[in-house]
Amino acid sequence: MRRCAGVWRSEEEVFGCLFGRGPKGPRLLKKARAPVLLRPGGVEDALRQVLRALGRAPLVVSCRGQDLAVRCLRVPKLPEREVAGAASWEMRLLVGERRERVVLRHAVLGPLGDGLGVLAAAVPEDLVRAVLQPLGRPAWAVDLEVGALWRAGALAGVVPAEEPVALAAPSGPGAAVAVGRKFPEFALVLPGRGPRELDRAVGYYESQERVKASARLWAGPEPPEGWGVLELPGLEPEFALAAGLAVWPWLEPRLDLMTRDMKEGARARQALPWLLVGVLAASSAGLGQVALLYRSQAARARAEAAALAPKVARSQQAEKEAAAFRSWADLASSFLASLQARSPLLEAVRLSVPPDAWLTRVDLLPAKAEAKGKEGGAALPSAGGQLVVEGRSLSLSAAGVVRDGLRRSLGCEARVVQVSWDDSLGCYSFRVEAYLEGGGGR
Amino acid sequence: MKPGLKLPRGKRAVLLLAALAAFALLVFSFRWFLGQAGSLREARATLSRASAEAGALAARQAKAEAARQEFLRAAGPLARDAEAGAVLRFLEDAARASGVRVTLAAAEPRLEKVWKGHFRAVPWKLEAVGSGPGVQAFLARCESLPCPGELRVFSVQAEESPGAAPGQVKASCLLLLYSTDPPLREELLAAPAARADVWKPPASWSPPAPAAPEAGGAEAGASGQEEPAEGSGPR
Repeated sequence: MRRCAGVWRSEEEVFGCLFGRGPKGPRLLKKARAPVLLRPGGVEDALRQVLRALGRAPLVVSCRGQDLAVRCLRVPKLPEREVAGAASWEMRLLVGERRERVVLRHAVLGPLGDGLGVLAAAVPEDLVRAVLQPLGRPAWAVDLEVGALWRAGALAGVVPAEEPVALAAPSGPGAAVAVGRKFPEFALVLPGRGPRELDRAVGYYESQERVKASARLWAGPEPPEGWGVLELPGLEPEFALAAGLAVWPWLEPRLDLMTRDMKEGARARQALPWLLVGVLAASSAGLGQVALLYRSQAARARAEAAALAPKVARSQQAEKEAAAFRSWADLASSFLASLQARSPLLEAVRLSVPPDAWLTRVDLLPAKAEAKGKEGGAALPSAGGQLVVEGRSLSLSAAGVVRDGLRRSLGCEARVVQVSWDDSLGCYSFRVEAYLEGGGGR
Repeated sequence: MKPGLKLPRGKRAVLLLAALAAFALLVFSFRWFLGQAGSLREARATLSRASAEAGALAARQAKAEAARQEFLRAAGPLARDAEAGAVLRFLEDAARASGVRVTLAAAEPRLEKVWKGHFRAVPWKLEAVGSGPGVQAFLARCESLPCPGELRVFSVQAEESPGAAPGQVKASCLLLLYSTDPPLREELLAAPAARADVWKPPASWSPPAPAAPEAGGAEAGASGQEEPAEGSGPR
């Protein structure tokens, strides 16, 4: 990890430090502080302000509270797995049966006497979540203030030491205390921060270990009576815990109280918008792919249709030809049906002539109106509309027989125009006219 | 940009821009997808129509052929040219069958598009002499020639000149013969044999006696044949 930010919050202010990895250890890159205003969202605003000032970097924060339990244990030299079991057993004994879920963590610090020094913590999960909630961004780790305190001491160069050093820092209304030489051998979170409480805690260590603390240093402003100030290069004392958190990747001891669920949840929350963006992009890509597929299929269909075009043209041409032939056939049939034969008129005249009469002239004369071409075509010669029958007879009534015969056989108007006696021939001459409808014929 | 407008910065800005870009891309892709889907639907419909039409080619060609045959059958009588030499052959055959002599056969200028913009009519002025029944049969046969036709007007008059035989009649008529426009079929008469001297009348021909009654003679010329005339009586 190249850079890491640590944020620590007091009752009145939020402090943040950004450290990077330097050739001689952690190097301060940035620091920021923001007051916590006494209004809803004041803490969040201050945190956001500090985090914005520090920029993007993995973030380590600390956790505090009355329900938090931290101890420095001394266990026999055991394999790592059994050390974990022992630490867990010890901390469960310490916190007792609880309804809420508790995060148990430990860190093997190093050999201590004939055993191993172990820093162990038991923290309710809700407490850790409460630390993470106002950050507004995922945290890299959540550590104890005791651990941050000891790393701040290491950053200041006061630990590790040959003689025990007592370090203390404000922790809410109380104080966090860590005493040790190479690593914390005694750690405690006190509910108060008065000199007597601090001295009593250090005195307990001294009585247990039968050694005297060589220094008592307070990581913060306004040290209690009898305590010195932990001086950090380039930093005010109130930044000590923030700095101790920021050097989490590079200095011991370190614990991470975040559970896998918290990390995954944070990652998921962080990834969710990107996931949505990804889903949108994937949908777009999918639609694009489908559209491309459709386009290629449409092109193939069009190509196939184009390949069929000559056949289609022939097919359409064949259909047109069939329709035209049918139309022409109908036309020819109806035309032929419209023709009128007029030669049967002569047979009708023949059948109308009685035995005592003979014909001298039969004329089919054009109708009075000029006949036009059949249904709008070129003008045709006028068709016969008047049948004139002239003849001779031996009786007067023969002309009447002719007239009636024409009336009967042709079904048209007919009249006897004239019957006259011809002295030179010794017979009657007659003229009968029939008026045919529509030009006569069958 | 408005002063004081709080713009998203950093990651949120990038995320917002990415979301906007992804959304815009999605909208664009969706619109493109819709367009391509419509295009594919249209192309498939076109292909389907083309396939159907191409598949129907054989059936349509068969149908067209059947329609053509039907047309030829229906229009067959009209296929022949009404101005062709064969018409005179038909008239001659009709006259011979009816026992009359055609004394005049004159074709007038043809009339085109006489019926619904189609067909052509050729008016023929005919004159014939013969017995009454023969003339009647001739006129009936004129309306039943291989070329469809109809009489427009006619006049039948008894020969009452002093030398004329009783019952002899003279007929004149206007016969319209129809055909398609233009005719579908052309039949040309061929000379049976060519003589060396075509200016010399055939040996079988002899001019009628001056006192003989007029009995035509136009038929042989009108028929375009060089067959010898068969006597002078009505045929």
